[in-house]
Amino acid sequence: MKTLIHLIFLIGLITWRPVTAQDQLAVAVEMIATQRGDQGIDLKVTVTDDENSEPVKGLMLRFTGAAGDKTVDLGEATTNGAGVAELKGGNLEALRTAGRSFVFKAVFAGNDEYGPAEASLEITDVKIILTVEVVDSVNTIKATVTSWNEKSEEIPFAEGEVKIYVPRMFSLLPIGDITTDDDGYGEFEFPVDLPGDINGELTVIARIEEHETFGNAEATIATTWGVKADAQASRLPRALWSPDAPLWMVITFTILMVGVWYHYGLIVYELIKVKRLSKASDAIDYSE
Amino acid sequence: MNIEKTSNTLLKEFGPQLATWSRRELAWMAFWGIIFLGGLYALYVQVTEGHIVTGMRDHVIWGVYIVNFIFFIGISYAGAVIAGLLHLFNPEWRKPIMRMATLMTVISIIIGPLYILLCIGRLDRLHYLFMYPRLQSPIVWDVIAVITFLVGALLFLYLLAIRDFAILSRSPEVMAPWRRKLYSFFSAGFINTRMQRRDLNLALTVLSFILIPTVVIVSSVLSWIFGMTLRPGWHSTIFGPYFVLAAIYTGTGVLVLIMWAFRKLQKLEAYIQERHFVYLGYMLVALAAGYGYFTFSEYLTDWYTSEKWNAELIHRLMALDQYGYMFYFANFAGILIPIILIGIPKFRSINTITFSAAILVLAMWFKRYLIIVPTLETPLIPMQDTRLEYIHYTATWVEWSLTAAGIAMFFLMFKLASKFVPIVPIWETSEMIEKEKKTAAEATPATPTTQTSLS
Repeated sequence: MKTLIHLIFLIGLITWRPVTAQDQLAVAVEMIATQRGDQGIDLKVTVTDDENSEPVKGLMLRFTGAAGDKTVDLGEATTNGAGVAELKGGNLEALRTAGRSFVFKAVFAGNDEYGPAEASLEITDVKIILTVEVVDSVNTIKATVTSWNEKSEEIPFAEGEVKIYVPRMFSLLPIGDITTDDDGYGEFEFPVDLPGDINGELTVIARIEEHETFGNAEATIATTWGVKADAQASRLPRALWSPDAPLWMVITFTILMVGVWYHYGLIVYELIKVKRLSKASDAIDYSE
Repeated sequence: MNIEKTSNTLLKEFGPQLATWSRRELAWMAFWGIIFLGGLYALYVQVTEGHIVTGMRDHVIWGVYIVNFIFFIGISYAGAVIAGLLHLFNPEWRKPIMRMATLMTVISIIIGPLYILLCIGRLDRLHYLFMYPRLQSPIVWDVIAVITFLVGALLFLYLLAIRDFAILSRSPEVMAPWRRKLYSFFSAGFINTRMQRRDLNLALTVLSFILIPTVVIVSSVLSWIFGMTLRPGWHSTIFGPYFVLAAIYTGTGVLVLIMWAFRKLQKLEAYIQERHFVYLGYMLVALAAGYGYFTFSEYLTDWYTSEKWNAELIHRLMALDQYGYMFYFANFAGILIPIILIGIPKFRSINTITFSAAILVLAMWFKRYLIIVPTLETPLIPMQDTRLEYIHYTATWVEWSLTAAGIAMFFLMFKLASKFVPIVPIWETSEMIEKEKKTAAEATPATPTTQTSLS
């Protein structure tokens, strides 16, 4: 037994070798940032296997942000089954004291299987101020967008495109665009026929999307401009898509089922009669 | 007519076959048993590792399991139609093959739905189908149709077997006591009185009348699972009758194969004669012609409209580097070979009819594959940035093993059933023999006849 253990140990010693960089697989890291209305930041990273572009699960990434000569640790997140790691609501207040141009980094330190990798993204601070107002009986969304120049002076975001959405059950419903003027201001006439909740409440989202300087940025505001939903859900008509099948379908189905099963019942009844007749006195007769 | 005497003679021949196993039969059971066990291992792998071991993915969500489901269900429907029609039209020659047709019906309708269970990802939610059914769903129609049909098929098999159960229960010299008790229970007290014969015949006739339209409806319902879906190759108004015809065509082919196999296996040449093959062969030719017409009509309309997705599907089906070989085999060989080999008297024989049946059965399996897989590979919205295995379906060894296991189960169940009840009905075959003797005697009163299947 002792010899066997020695032998196993010896084989292990001979065959063991440390993990080298050549053994590790490379990963590709992509990052997108969304500046939030509350002045925080959302960072989303997608990690894929460099060789076959399959998402890589379970990698821990550390996020940092830098402005001027200041760097802050924003936190960490681990990739899910889709290879996505998200950092929600990173606080940028400390960075804003040092400057308005940010560099974000997501760093994967590497493990036995995958080599180290990182992604970085540079964006400039932007602010969307969203207000709602009824102007001449028209529900109006007003957006003012400002940014900061190299001297950290606040300047309007002129001729910028801001998309307006309303969140629905599964995704954001685009309802229109605002193009800002020289003052960074624009407005949008809100539709009157959007269904809201029972109080008519709706959330409006204004987004700058994939801008080369700002990345993504968004602001949200609540309104009561939706059409009030009925507290009592109205009864749906009989239809293919409703809980109750069309009447003709129910009738056809019932006729078919009753027709077939009635005859099955009749046959079982005949069988019972055959069984009862075995006790009858009729003589056995093989003739036809 | 001396039916009792003839049935006793048949009982002496078939009785021992019920209780004993020949070497040939044991080899048959061992062969299919091994294949079935292989399928059980594949099932274990699928249950423990999940559906990832199959070739089914997000886009091609159905594969050979659904192909097998349609295939077996089709065979089953065909068995019922053949048995029902033969009972109603009452040709004497039908009697030796009626049991095979009804057994084929029942066994196929049991195996077919098992493939649905293999295909379902969340079996734990299966009972929701019964708890919260939606009458508007073709899936619900199909579940109800299959259950209704299964009950009818079991009743038909049972009604046709009652007289044999009665004969077997009264044969102490041939049957063991426990068997006789069992047969006595299943014979429903049938002692062949006039009234019993009348009631039994009435039940059989009513059931035949009911089963034939039921088959048409349930087979159409199966086709509507596809027909009601807006997909190229599926959304077709002729899918209902097309499926009915395809089912009967395939089932008749399978019945010929079963007749050939049991004729050899149990030496039934005296009862399953050349005429049975020839008559079913005629049926195959007529069905092949009808099925060929439907096939041509279906593809022509799809091709002629040149609608984008239909055109893409047609190209996929006909391109030799995609499904071309399968397409030409299924739609040409599967139709033309039976027409030529059976239709031309010079070529017609038991072996050529059986060969034609084998070709058409294989072709019809491929046809179901062509209905399901290429269509799912041709969705109505373009697929981008997805993995190749999600776009193209390839069945894995697990699916092939379970497919083979289904075929094995079919033959195993058939063989086991033939050990419980004679594969050739004793009573009805006796009737046929006696009637043919009588007819022969009437036709040639001066010449003593020696023509009997039992002599």
